[in-house]
Amino acid sequence: MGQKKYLVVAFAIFFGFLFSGCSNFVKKEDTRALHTDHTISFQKNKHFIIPDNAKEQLGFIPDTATSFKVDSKLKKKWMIDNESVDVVSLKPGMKQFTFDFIIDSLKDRNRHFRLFIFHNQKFIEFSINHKKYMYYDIQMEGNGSLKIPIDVPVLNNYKFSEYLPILIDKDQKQLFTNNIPVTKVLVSKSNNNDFSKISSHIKLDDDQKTFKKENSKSNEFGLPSVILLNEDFKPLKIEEVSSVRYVRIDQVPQKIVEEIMFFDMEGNIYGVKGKQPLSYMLEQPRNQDFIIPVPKKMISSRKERFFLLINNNPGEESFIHLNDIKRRKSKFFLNFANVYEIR
Amino acid sequence: MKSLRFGIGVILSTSLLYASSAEVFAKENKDDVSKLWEKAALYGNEVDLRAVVEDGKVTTQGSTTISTVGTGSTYIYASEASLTSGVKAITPQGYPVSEVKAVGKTTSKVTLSTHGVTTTLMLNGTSIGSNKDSGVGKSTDTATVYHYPNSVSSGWEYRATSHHTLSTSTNTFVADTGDSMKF
Repeated sequence: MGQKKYLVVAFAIFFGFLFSGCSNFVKKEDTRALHTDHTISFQKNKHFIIPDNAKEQLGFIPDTATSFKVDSKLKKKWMIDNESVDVVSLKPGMKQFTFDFIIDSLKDRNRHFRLFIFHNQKFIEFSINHKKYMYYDIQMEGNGSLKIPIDVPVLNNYKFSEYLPILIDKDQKQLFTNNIPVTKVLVSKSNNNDFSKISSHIKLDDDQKTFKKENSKSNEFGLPSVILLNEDFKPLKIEEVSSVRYVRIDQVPQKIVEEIMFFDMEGNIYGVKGKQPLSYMLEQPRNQDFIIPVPKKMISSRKERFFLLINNNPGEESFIHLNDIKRRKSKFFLNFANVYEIR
Repeated sequence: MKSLRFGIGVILSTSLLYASSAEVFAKENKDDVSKLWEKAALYGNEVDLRAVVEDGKVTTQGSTTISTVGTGSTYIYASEASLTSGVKAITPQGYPVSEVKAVGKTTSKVTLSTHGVTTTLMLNGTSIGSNKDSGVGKSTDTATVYHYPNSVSSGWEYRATSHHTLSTSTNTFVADTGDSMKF
């Protein structure tokens, strides 16, 4: 009997350990389930873009950094001067793909953003956690990195396109003089990285013929300079933004296709002459500024925040430009998009 | 230049007068400038815009090396007016300062990048003006805003902010810097 008792106790201990192990296993599985590819994750004190010890190293607190990441199976690198441009390379038949949008904040306070996805000349519906959104409001703790897996549809038959995650800071209105940089996610359906035989399908808007043009005062490569003008075409100071009637866009000193779009916090798109469901596709001549009237509906609106998107080299133009850079046909990399808060 | 900045600040810090802004703005615009005025005092002078570099390429994660991709800064400088310029030396009404300038800089160390700096100079809560500069590739942007007061009164305060942006092919960085100078 004594030996049996010992055996029972031994079995009890064994099963106890086994059960305990199973519990841990289940727990781990649960934890892992929370970090699947389709789950938003925030990592406190982890900085995917800016290093953790930035304050010691930098002596400052930068505002925000953003980036994107795709599954390595979908990622191709295009190398220029030992630096890489990531291209999402879609497999045949894919109707959607996922990319992680990453926001890295070193500020201690909570952050609030609104995220739009711009594609094919308009804001598109996208999915997060299997729910569909036209825009997604983000509440983010301070001091950490937020990874948001975003499912986006593949909407057109073009071999080369792009998706722009546009992030608006809900806590902080920007001065029109400050650009808000936007990441461009380049997407290719081509099997290879040969961008040498791409023909652009972009149709320029006839409206651009009616936009006033003036010789540019600046002759430097750089960000598009946005100057707000009053009804007499005089530049406005930052305090005078409510008098805005025109936007003067000073571009890089080379002919470039650019996409511009006026929009508000709800994702409504505004046209210069009324209803405008899509962005404008323009070709800015070398050394000439566009002077574009601000949509009247924006001027008369009581809404507080309005924006202007300027997207250099939209769609396949980005890929054509990559090829031009590689072949030294273009000197500078100009595949950038920016948003300006114009009211 | 930096030593002159502190020198003038100390020498002129005992002035008597305080000049207040008399300009009237639309409320929302004034609020914007007020916020900027407050922020300017909170920002540090210098920033580094950093990214993770993997195998020598700028990327977001999986770092093996950490590298600085750019820097940004804002400083205010003041120049004393020379006696020959017609401005008298220190008087109870003011002090001879011919020029105050705010200089913002953004430097990029990445070839596939575009970057810019917008600098705004303010005096006693009112903006004097903004200037911006931008560039592409490995280069430095410098935006300078000037003010020529001839003389300043005690209690006058200049503040400046700079908005720095740097976009690489996959990352964006935004940072703000600021500086202030009180007489």
